[in-house]
Amino acid sequence: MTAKKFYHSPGLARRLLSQMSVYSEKHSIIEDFEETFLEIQNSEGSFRAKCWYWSNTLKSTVGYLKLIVSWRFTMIMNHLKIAYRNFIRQKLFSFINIASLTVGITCGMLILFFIRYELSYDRYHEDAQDIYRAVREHQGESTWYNSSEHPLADSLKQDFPEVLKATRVKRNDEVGVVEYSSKRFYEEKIYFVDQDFLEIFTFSLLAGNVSTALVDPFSVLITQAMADKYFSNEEPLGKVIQINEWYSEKKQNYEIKGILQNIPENSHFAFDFLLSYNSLYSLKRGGRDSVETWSYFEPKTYIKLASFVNPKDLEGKFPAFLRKYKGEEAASERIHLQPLTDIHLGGNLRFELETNSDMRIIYMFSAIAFFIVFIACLNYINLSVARSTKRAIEVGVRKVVGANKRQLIRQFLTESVAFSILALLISFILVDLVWKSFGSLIGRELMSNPFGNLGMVLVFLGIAVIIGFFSGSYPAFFISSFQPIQIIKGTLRIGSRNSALFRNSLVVVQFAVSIILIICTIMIQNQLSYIRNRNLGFDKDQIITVYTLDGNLKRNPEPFKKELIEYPNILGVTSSLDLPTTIRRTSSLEWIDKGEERKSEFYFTFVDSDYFNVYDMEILEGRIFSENFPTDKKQCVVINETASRNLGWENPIGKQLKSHGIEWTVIGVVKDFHFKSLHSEIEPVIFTALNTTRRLDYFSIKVSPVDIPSTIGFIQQKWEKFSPEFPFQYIFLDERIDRVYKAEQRLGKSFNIFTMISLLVACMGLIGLASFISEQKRKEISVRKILGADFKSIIFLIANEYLKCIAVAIVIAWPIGYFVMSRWLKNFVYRTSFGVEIFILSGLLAFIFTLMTVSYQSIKAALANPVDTLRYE
Amino acid sequence: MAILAVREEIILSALLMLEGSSHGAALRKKVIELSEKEIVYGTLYNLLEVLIKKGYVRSHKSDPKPVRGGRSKTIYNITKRGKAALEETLRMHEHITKSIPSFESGK
Repeated sequence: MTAKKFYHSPGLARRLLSQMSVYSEKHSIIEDFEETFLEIQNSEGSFRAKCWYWSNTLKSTVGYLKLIVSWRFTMIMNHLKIAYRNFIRQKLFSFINIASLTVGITCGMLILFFIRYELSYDRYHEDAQDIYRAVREHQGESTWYNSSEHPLADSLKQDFPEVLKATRVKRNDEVGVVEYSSKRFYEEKIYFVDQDFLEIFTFSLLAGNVSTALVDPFSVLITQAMADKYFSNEEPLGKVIQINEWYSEKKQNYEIKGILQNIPENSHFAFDFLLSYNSLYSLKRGGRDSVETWSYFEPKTYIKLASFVNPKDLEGKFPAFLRKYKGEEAASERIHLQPLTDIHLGGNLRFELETNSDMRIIYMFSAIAFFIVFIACLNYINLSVARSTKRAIEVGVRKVVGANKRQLIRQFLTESVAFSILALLISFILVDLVWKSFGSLIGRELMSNPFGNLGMVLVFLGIAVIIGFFSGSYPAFFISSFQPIQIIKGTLRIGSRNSALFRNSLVVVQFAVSIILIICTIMIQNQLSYIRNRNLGFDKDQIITVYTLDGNLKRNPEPFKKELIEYPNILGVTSSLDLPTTIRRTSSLEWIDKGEERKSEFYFTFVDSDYFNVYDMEILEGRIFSENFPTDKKQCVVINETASRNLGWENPIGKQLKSHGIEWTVIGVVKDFHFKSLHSEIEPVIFTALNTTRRLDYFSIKVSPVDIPSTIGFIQQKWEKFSPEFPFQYIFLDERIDRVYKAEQRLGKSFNIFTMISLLVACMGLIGLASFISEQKRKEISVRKILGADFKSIIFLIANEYLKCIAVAIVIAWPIGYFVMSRWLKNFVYRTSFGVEIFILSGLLAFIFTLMTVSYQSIKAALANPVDTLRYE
Repeated sequence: MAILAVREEIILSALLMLEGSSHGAALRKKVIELSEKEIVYGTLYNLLEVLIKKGYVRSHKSDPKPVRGGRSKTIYNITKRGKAALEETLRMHEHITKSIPSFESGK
């Protein structure tokens, strides 16, 4: 029989009522309510009766809640008071708990801010979700190129009504010179963009007109920062500045049509000058037609779609579109629409505007943050359980006085949440202190300080409460289940087999995590030093590189080179289109292999006859360009090893290649060198000699390590003589190369630091546990000492247990560490191998740390006078 | 002997009218009838609790009845002290009413 049969009132309200009422039994409320309910039902109908029942119930709910809260508050205050007393009494435990939670929460908070910042990239544009970048896949290659053909943007806009706006963005890798009256600087961030640019992206104009600013050739928009730099007191709008960049051999006048607000840091764009795209038509020798051609890939193309257009549908129409413009040869090419908001974390496609980040880094950092917080929580659990003997009497008395299990659980949870909130507050201060250095560690110096955001603070409060609950729940259940009779009789055994097993498994988990992190750190360091020390195939040390925009110098570099080489500390000078690390241009080649006509894309660059000598590259076959053979300057090429392999000829010397209808003769083969980062494989390169039409961009000057400052002074002096119009700016080649691996180096450094922290937190827990164990075994140790045990065996007694734990942790950690790191290494085509020594080293480190932390407590225990502990008063 | 508060007075009067003993629901009905105002159960129980403490009312459980699975109700009885206190209060009201001249002549 259910209660339902006897009652007619609404069940839920009735249950609520009986739950709330303190008088429930004494006054038989339910019965009285039921009677009145039936009465009203009879006289006024069942609806009114229900209304009455509910309104009465709800009215009392308010009062009930008030009552509860006020009592809870009183109880919480009491719990906090007790927590505070325990905190003071057990200083070591409290310190370890607070310190490890603080460190954990601080790391977690920093990393969370970093991740949040990374995810915020490019989201500030209105309709950011409708903006896409068209990336291209070249024939037969599996990588996506973010560069596309010049006419792509306009053609997309014309052919597809769903493409609302389209713009090209073009940036040259090298610097340009900007000049206004007496101010002349090298500037790196110069973009050519179409006029839709400002309408697709939300970059607000402080002055000027969005729709007309980039219409005319030789219009320029500058950022506020540049306006301040070049025009301190003047009004920049309408002024004319001279810009000299890669495309223009002489200064060009650009009229300032607008001032842009500075670009937010969390943008994958970074520009200071926006030049109108059609300026290129006048800058390039071939005019408009030489720009608007489908035959090569240069600018990035961004489009804005109408909302509700599915990019996948549009992509489906692209093959036909490409065939229409490029003919059948485009059959194997594809266009893919990459969402704007994916660009920053999409890894680096070829030729990114700025070095992007990678989703993998986000995952790695999240994992570290999680692990450190996790280790800190385990510390709390372990120490609370271990020290629960000290709380046993308290629990016993509370139980005897009438506390039920639920109240005790509540008490211990209050305590742990209080701990974690205290840790959170300290973390807020710590985060604020280390904010700047954290920013430079991860390479985000300009990330704004997050505490202005109340929402974030609340989120962290929530996280702290969750951490408190997580770390407090097991101890709470454990401690509250003590039997008062056992406690008071003194028969409670906490160091029992079960709880020791539990404690030890937590230690194993903590150390397994730490050891995995150690393995990762060592592997990352190994890979980084492998990269740094790998023979790139060319000499990168003591080479000064100078970029030039000077048309005169480009046409006639020889006199400059000749004067430089006369200086005794200059060992060699070469001029070339690219440095060995900047070879980026490709061209398609045709050749005949075994009677078969073949065609493929090859990288190409222009070099002079000294190039291979200055860079100390090994010649495998044939010869290099020489001044003695005038024909070298025309139709001769040197190829690299990979090119030779790809071409498929047994003996390539003297063979013919065809490119854009011109025949070339191979005169030499140079040994492979890494012209791209070690993430990717070496690809085929064709070298041709510089001449009056094939211009140079760089001078590379090999200097002797003796007295470099005066050598540089000499170079500058000569530069000012030969290229007076242009400021002298140089960079060492190895610095340039280091920039490529900056992301990895940052990752390595952060990993180092966070691994150390996690190990530190785990060891802090061990200190606490060791002191607990040595205290528990105090009597045992004393008895052993009296019976003749020596110092060594007592230390071993205490350390033994932990060393066993570490051994188990190592066995667990090794395969996991191996798995994780072998996946990471797959990102590199050229990578170190896994050595046994890494595993041994990681295990050894863990052992040493354990011994170090445990030894203090064990030595203290071993040195204690047995009389003190055994004396019975 | 203490003077009763108005609401206590009403409850005791109602209880007396119900022949000195009643369960909660009937009592509430009577109280509403007397005071011509709605009274919430919560208030009623709180007042009863006060009256029990002062010794004016006693409560006990009734014998289980066969309805609703035999659950018993709480029955409230007025005590002798309660009766005395009520009488005294009513007498005081009478006295006051008489002593105010305007009530005699007015209306």
